[in-house]
Amino acid sequence: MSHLPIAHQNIPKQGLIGVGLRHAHFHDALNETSLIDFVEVHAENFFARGSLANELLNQVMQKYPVSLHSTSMGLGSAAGINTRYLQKLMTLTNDINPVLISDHACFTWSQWNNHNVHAGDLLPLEFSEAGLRVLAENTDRVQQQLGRPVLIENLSSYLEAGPSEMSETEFLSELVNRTQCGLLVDLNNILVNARNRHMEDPVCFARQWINDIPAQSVGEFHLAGYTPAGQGEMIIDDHSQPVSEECWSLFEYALSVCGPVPSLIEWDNNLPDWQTLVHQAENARKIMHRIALSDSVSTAEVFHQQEETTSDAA
Amino acid sequence: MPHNHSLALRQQFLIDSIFSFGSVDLKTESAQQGLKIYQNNLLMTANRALTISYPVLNQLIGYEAMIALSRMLLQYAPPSEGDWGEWGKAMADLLAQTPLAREYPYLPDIARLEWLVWQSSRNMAPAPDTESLALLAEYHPDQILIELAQSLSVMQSLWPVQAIWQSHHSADQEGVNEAMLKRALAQQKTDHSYMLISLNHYKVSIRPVYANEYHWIQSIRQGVSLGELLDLYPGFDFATWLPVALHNGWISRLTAREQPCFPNEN
Repeated sequence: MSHLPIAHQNIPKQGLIGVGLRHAHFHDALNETSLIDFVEVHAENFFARGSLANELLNQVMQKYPVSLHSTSMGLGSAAGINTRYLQKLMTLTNDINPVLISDHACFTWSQWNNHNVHAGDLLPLEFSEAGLRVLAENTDRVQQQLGRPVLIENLSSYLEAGPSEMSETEFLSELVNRTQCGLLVDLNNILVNARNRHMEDPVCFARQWINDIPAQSVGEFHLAGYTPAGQGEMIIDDHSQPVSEECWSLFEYALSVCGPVPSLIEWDNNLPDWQTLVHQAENARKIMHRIALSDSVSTAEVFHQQEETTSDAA
Repeated sequence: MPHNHSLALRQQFLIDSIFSFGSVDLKTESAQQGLKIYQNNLLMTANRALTISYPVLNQLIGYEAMIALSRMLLQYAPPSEGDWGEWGKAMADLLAQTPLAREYPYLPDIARLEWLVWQSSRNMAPAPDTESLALLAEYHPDQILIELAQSLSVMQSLWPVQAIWQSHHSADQEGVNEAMLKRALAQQKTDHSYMLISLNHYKVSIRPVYANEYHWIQSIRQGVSLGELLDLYPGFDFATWLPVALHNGWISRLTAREQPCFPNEN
């Protein structure tokens, strides 16, 4: 497999804080002052180059760096990625030069009744060598064509896709190893999966999940909330609520492990007003500052202890 | 899941399980529940896409019927582009095969019009290349082709679809203008009416046109040269139409085929 000219170390690592920008918030995002470092848009919403949405995106780009999050690339599709789709993504990428590009570890393209079909959803991958090979080949192809690394996001899934030969974290770690892609770690997805699989301690499971991936490959965090499920029902990752307390807590832990990578509030359904969304982002920033401060205190303590040890020895 | 198939077949199996909307013999209760979530996600996303591209149809037939149509359309013409905005073109054909169309025969044409409006809104409408007009002096009309804007389209109907559409896009009130809708529906079947759909400053407009303008534009779309157009439609006033078409952004540019030909030298 060929390798990227740009290694994942070049993915921006500053502690940027962003929000997912949806159409209902365009006006406020353009007209109100807010301390947002970047916004993330869904790529497919801007494939129609002449639309009013694209004109608005041009205005947004004057104010914020834009991260491009695609939802349809289907990098794990055994059928490959539709060339027309990829061409549109490349055109959009060239038009807006996004600060980050990401998609999901899922499949979308396949065949149905002898026709090519797009699933219209993020369908789960089997964590097998066959699944990994397809995901790595497609990711490599996309990165080569875009000329830059992409971040691959862990999925919330509602059923097992097939035979699992490894854990999700082993699967994603090996993907990073083979393609030099980065990881977009969706903290909410880890928690949703843990709860839907009835893990005894979802937060403990999620922390272990974070421990098990290569920290230096993490290029972004997603934070979100979900509608609580009824008795005996699965949680649906609907991004319809404020970030849950569990997710804030996991964010704090993840920052302490992976450092201050770009972090984004996702809210797609039951949209709040812009200020509420911005307030969530401000909370993320506070946590990031606190962790950075405690890290620098820890570093200072270590440095101080080392100095004392050195002078004692002297 | 059948583990003895290749990865591609396993992925096809899941797609088939979702798009068939039926129950599939999966191993566990939780897998059944998971499958239902994917089926429901697909249906809701499809429905949301269609209510955006077919807002008038959605208001005319209501939520339940639109959900049913969304499901039927997913199976009749499943998405294949990865962009929900590109999906749904087959709605008019599908509608024509349903009992809804027997009761409300104008619905397929409403869908046809809405799809053209939707596509127009998504296309670029660049300023016409007026320098290309110089070709009119340099080439014989038989060699000149008119390139229409991608956002321009025309359609014909036996039903008052433009009036029905406009009752849902009345400038003086939000929502449906019931009086306009009532008047439109009372018109029943008409003689053929012709419409031109175009985009100007991100706003789609529909205007009635005469049959000759409809056919003129259809012929341009088919690649008929200016000279052949003038022969086909001798009564059409090209000199008056051209500046109007340029002003409204219906034309992208003129192009010439083959070598220059100077009429005075023949």
